[in-house]
Amino acid sequence: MNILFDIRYALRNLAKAGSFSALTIAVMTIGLASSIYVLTIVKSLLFEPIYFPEGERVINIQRRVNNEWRSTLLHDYQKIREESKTLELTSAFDTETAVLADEFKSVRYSGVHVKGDYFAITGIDVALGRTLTKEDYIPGSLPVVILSHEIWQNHFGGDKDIIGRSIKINRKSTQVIGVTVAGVEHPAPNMLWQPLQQDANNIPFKKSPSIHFYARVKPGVAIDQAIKEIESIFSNSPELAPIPGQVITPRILPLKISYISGGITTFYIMLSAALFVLLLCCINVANLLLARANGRMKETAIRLALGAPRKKLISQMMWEAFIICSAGGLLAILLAGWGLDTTMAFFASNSNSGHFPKWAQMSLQADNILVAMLVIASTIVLTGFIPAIRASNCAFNEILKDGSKTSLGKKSGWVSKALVGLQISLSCTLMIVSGVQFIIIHQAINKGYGVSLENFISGRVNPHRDFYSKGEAQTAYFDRLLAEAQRIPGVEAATLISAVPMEWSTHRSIEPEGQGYDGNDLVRSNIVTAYPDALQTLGIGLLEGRLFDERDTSDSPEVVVVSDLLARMLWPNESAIGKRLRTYSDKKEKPKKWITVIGVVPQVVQNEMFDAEKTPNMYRPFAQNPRDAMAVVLKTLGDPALYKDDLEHAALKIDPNTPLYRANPFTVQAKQDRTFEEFVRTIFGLFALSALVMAATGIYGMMTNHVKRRTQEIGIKRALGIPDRAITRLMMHQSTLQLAAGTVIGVPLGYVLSQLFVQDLGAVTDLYQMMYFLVPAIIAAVVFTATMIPLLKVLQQSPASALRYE
Amino acid sequence: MNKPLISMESINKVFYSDDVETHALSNINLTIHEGEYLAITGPSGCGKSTLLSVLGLLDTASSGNYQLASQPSMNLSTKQRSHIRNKEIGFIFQSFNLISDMSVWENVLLPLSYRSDLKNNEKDALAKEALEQVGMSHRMNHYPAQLSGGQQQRVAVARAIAGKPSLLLADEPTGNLDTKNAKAVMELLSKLHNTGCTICIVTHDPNYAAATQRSVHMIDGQIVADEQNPRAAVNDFMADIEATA
Ligand SMILES: Nc1ncnc2c1ncn2[C@@H]1O[C@H](COP(=O)(O)OP(=O)(O)OP(=O)(O)O)[C@@H](O)[C@H]1O
Ligand SMILES: [Mg+2]
Repeated sequence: MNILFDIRYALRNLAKAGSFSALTIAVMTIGLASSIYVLTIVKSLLFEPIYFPEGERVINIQRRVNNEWRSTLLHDYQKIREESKTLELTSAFDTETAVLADEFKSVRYSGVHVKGDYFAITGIDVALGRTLTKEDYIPGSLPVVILSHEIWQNHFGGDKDIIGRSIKINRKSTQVIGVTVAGVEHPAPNMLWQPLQQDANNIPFKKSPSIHFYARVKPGVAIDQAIKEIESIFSNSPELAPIPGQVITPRILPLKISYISGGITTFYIMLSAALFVLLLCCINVANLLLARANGRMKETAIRLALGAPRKKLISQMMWEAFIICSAGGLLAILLAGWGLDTTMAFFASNSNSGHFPKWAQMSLQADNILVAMLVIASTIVLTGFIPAIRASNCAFNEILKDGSKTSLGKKSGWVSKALVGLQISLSCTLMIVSGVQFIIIHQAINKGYGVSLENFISGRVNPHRDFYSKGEAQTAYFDRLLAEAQRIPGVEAATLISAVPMEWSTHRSIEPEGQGYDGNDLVRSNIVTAYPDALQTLGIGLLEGRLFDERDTSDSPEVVVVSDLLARMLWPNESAIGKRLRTYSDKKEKPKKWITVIGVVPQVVQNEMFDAEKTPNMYRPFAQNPRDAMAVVLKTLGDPALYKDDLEHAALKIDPNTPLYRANPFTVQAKQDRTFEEFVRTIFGLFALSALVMAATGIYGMMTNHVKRRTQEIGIKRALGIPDRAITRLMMHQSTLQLAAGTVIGVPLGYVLSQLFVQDLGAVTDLYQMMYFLVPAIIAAVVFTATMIPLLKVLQQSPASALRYE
Repeated sequence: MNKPLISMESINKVFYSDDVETHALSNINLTIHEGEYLAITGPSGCGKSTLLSVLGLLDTASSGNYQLASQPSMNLSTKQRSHIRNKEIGFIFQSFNLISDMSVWENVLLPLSYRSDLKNNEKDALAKEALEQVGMSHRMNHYPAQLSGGQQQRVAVARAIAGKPSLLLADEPTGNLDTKNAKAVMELLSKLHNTGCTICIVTHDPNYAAATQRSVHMIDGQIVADEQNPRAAVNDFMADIEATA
């Protein structure tokens, strides 16, 4: 009853101060929503273990050569598996093309070749049949496979007798021994699993295959302990580091972290920005509530004087705070939840599979919401209650007696001035950091890839080496495919290349001739294998020398075309033509033979967008550096998407067992490729925007309140004949002081923080520097507008009505 | 008779609030001559304060003609109005209206600080003189909240008279004072009047009204009586004051 009355009273009070309530709730919603959203993302990606059983103990073990990240080798796995005492489970796996073909259809899937405790670590279970046993790993034993539930359903129509059935994988008869439960997604959906029969004991180190290496640490053993142990295994195993001067160390991360390792810095910047928003939101809410409480000081004093119990007043204020908090909180949760769903949908729609990966699934969790709400609630407690309690403690008589009604200006005025200053500086910092981040990423996205992506489509083929052995057979296959592709009507040109622009490519360390190899800081370059006319077709124009042609055969001297970036890195101030270089592989002791530079072309983006300036490119003719998997590229006359079927058909026509995969127009690939960057850009755009909104609403709310509280004082001054200009100047003077104090802290802080990632990512142009001036200008405009609007309102009234203002 | 300082013709003031029209002043015709000392009386809510606001350029009439010092004042700019208020008009408000985060001294000095015709030491001297006149110099550094109601009122009087205005408008200047203090304030006003200042006070006390030269009685926004006070009453009052002093 009593409570109902209090709630009604609080609601009425809030309704009376409609715009104040709306503003406070809006500020809370924005602040809470963005921090809950980002907290959830960062927490689920960085701080929550992978969904595997005992996921917090599952680690990814990789290899570092001279501190650079390289792929792990089967030999690393074998050694650690044998010697480690801290690991309870270990597993190696690798994926390979697996073509399922019968007389009706031919589909390319990924096959996972696994070794060790793969199923125990990933927690993958079979719904039918069995998993792998020891016998399956013995070389020469009957080939067996486990199908994913989805392949079983979609490819085999859910055949009830699938177990024991013999199917063709890459034309090899293989017996199905199991079908997993539904929804398995490791390493991706739609997999099939086979034993990895290779054994490090029977393979020379030189030939050691690259694998992924997962392990689970024993219960009660700290991950750091395992890291130490593995480090010592590496340092005590010279056989794993055959090249003199090479230092091999492990790179060990919790599994989930290892998936996103490239994005960690970005996530931390995001997290800090979110905490900034939360802090800003708290200050904002605090400020607004404080201003409101101060404005009602007189009322509170009168009520106390009339005998209202203190407890009652405080509880009424508490209800108001509670209502604002729950309204803002509820809206924020809805908004954050919507944001997460939208984010996942965005990633899914921009991915090749149209699917959001299970390991990265994010959902709102009670604890995140609770933390954010708690922060806000404590803000409300501090700022809502302190004035109430102070008002009831301090001699309310004094407040009442003070005839001028502009009461309690002094102390609380100081606090709220400081808060506005703090708010200005935080807004400045946040806007600068987010704005700079936004501009840098935006420019990187819009910079393009160094070549036009319009009117190209490509798809990959991977003719199985058992049937197309390197050399004649393989070359014949690719030549035929090219001929088929060229025959597609509407195709202007067709070519083959191992990695199209923007696509990931293998890279190697490069040694230029005659500069002395010192083992360490060799330039690393992407190595792309190209058909003779590939570079022309793709529009990668010649800058110097010549491109590949019929002269470059497997018997002719080895040649290479380098990008201008590589040429500059290896031979600054000199022509690269005629110079020689050689590549190092990570495991082989002797470098390959010298190859001669015949041409220089512009650097295009290969691999990551931000990597373009760091990792140069070089191109090798297919005849001299054949690859198992190549992309066939069509330059089309019309919309390239329309050629997808023809392209796929061309491949099937040659060999139904070698279907084309990842067939997409370049523009679609580019969109998929920059999904993360676009996401990050959006997030920082939103941060900048919410910082602006918060700064604007917060400062405006504060200033309005400030001017309101001084309405009577302004009235008195005007009545005494003080010119409006002088009054305006006085108010502006105060705002300017706060603005100056705020920017003096906020701008340098923003500068320092933003420089951290400007250095890291590199900027396309210096445009981002405009933020250092634009932001203070915007904030200044906000502050002055926020001061002028309410002030003008007061000055438009007659002094008599300002005097009468309560 | 001196020339008219104030002349009002058919002044109306209407307030609009929440769809209610309040005719605070209706058809006011009033002439006040230079050096006159006049009291406005009437029941609460009859429009006395409103009339004073219009007289002192704190508010504009809704309609009618208002000439201040032979100048039509209806169309003065905000700047001109504030200049006149600052230099020529002194206000004593019904509710003191001191600025709470300024000391007594700062409050009194405030209107003077915007006078360009005075040097700083002259301003200080005027403020000091005014505070001495109201007997508040010993509280110079106090803040309004630290003063009694009567003391605040006296500071407000000091602030109004410090600039030696030619027109003093006082809205119940004695409302919060005991008889002794009230009389002191009235005496102050009389003295000011003797220096040539035109004074217009609002009061409920018929004794104080009688001490002026002229009484204007209002009811419901209208002037219902406007008469010269007999000279004797003024003298009696002054004598009374001298006797108690
Ligand atoms: N800003 C305003 N808005 C609406 N009505 C107003 C306003 N100011 C005054 N009034 C109304 O105008 C009328 C005259 O008010 P005014 O303050 O002049 O009375 P008063 O004669 O000074 O009374 P008192 O002796 O009680 O001070 C009153 O009815 C009052 O309610
Ligand atoms: Mg009044």
